[in-house]
Amino acid sequence: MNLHDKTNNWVTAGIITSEQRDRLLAFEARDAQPDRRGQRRLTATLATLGALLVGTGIILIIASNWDKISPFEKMGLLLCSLILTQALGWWLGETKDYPRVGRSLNFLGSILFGANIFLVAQAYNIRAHWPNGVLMWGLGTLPLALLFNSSAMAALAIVTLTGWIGGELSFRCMAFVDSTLFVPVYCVWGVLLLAIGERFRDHRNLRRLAATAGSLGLFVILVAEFPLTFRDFISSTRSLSELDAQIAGLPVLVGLSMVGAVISAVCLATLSRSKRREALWMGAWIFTALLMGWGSAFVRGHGHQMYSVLFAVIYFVQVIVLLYLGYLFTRADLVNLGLLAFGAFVLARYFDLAWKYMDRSLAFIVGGVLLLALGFGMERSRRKLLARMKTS
Amino acid sequence: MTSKRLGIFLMILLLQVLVIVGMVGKKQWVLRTGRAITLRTEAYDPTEIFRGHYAVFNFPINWVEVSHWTPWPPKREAPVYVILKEQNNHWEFASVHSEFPSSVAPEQIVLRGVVTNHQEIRGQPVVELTDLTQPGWLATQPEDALWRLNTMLWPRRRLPDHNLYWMDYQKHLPVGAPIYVHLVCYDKQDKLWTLQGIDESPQPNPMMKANPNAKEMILQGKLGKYQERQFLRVEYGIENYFISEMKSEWTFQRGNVEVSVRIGANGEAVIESVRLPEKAR
Repeated sequence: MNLHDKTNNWVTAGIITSEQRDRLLAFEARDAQPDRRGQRRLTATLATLGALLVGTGIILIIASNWDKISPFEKMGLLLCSLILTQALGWWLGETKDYPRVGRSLNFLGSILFGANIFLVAQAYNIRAHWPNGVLMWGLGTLPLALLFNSSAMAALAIVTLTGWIGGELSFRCMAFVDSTLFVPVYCVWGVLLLAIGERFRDHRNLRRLAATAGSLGLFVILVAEFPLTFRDFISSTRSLSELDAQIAGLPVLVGLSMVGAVISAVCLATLSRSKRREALWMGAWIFTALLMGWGSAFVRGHGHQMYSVLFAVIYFVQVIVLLYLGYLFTRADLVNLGLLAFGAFVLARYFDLAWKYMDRSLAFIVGGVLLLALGFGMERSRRKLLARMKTS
Repeated sequence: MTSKRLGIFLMILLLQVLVIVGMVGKKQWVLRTGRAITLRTEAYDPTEIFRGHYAVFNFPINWVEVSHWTPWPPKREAPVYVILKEQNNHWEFASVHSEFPSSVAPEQIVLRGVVTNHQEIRGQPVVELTDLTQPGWLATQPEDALWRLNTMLWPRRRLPDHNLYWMDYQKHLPVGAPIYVHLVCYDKQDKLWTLQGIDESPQPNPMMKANPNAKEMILQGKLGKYQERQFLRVEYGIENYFISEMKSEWTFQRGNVEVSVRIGANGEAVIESVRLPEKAR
């Protein structure tokens, strides 16, 4: 007997009224529907994967027939694929009420834009300064991410711009020993993203974009600062004062970093009154990150190894504070990234010490057990924290 | 609202299209209007370590000798302008300047490049490689291996004339004393050779015998003059050339690839075509 018949019997028996039966059936029918959010996500994921496959196919067709296609045909193919994909995305997303498929096609268009830049660079053997291509890709994608408030496009733009910074620095640094600038510059970049993310997290039209920027910014800071906790990294790189004469555009880099820091401060200072406490905490956290990033640029080389201990302590405190802030302000992104950094930090310190003081085979076994325990503990505490955040 | 959004969207799309058209247009303009010259490579490698099917060209003008260059050490990525002069159908280095030269003779041409590395020898001796044959148990293709070593793995010790300088030299042997350069290779294709050391002794390193995968190559040379020289590594954006996967005739070669280049009015260089040496075709 199905629910419909059962409830009919209950009405006949006078247990429930017909009104109550209708409400019960309506409730059960709603509950029986597949999770709409899940369905939406599945649609977006499938459309994005489809877009990626089509994009890869187009690029492969053009690349593998490069010699057989005349320059004008090449240009035509590249531009047509870009324009058609973007236009189709707009048409479906904005006029035909297929927003997920439409946005996926615009995301594909952004990928094609980057692919076109590199195909043209390949055709004309442009290698002189490859970061310029990455910069153009990022700057060309960012306005679309803003227009559509798209997480995927925002992530693509931020990742490409992060890559551009790395590429630009690697061009200016002669060798690994000159890689000192990577940490401070990436710290400023991460801080800028984080502050922008915090500033626009509750903005109606920029919510998703801000969340992506904030999380990626935090990730960039944590990754950039991590090498400072290693003795060898400090001792094998040169300090900024030693590099001053060798890096073209160093004053410009320093100036840009200061501008980034000021923008970050403005972003946090202009947060709404209800977010004042959060802004103060985040401001203090960001200030520490900037201090550590730029401070590290002056203490490098032999004789400065001991600074790695100081940086490790600061890093550890930063991670703990991040977890605390995640719990305090019910922020899952802070908890997740904080736990990730905590795990990486513990593992790094374990291998630092175990390699020196323990037999190798034993170090592997203990390391494996530690890894399992850490994974279990982190997952458990993450769930607990998130559950507690939800209930509070 | 929708029409405003559409307007913004169209502007972004136009910007993306303009970037692509601008990149192509800039290069096509140089190819159409630039002056044609032919450069010969010293050697090339058909694979680029990160990008695969890209020939890596090494032109004699990539290393230019300077005298009292300021600032020293030079800033990386600093623009420089190299004047080439034509002699016997060959374009050779004439001079290098930090700013675009105001006057250039008709038989000369200006090439714009950027500094990517530098080298300074302050009283160290040069090791002149006198014999590239294989004394004893050497590996195959020593010349190719040496070129790879010089240009890719060991750029800081390389001199434009293929000689090496003894960076950590502390003794005071007389000029002309026999010297041996020890190279080691661990891969099966004998492709990647690294410097093991420069020594007065031709004796193989006993450590190599213990490792069955290691091959040692000993290049014979003599101690050259103690020198004071400055070099700039200059790249012009023509050091890489995309090779279609269809063209299997591209193999590792020592040199003589003829690269036709067009030079724009501002010194920008664009590869027009590449002619492989007879051996490779």
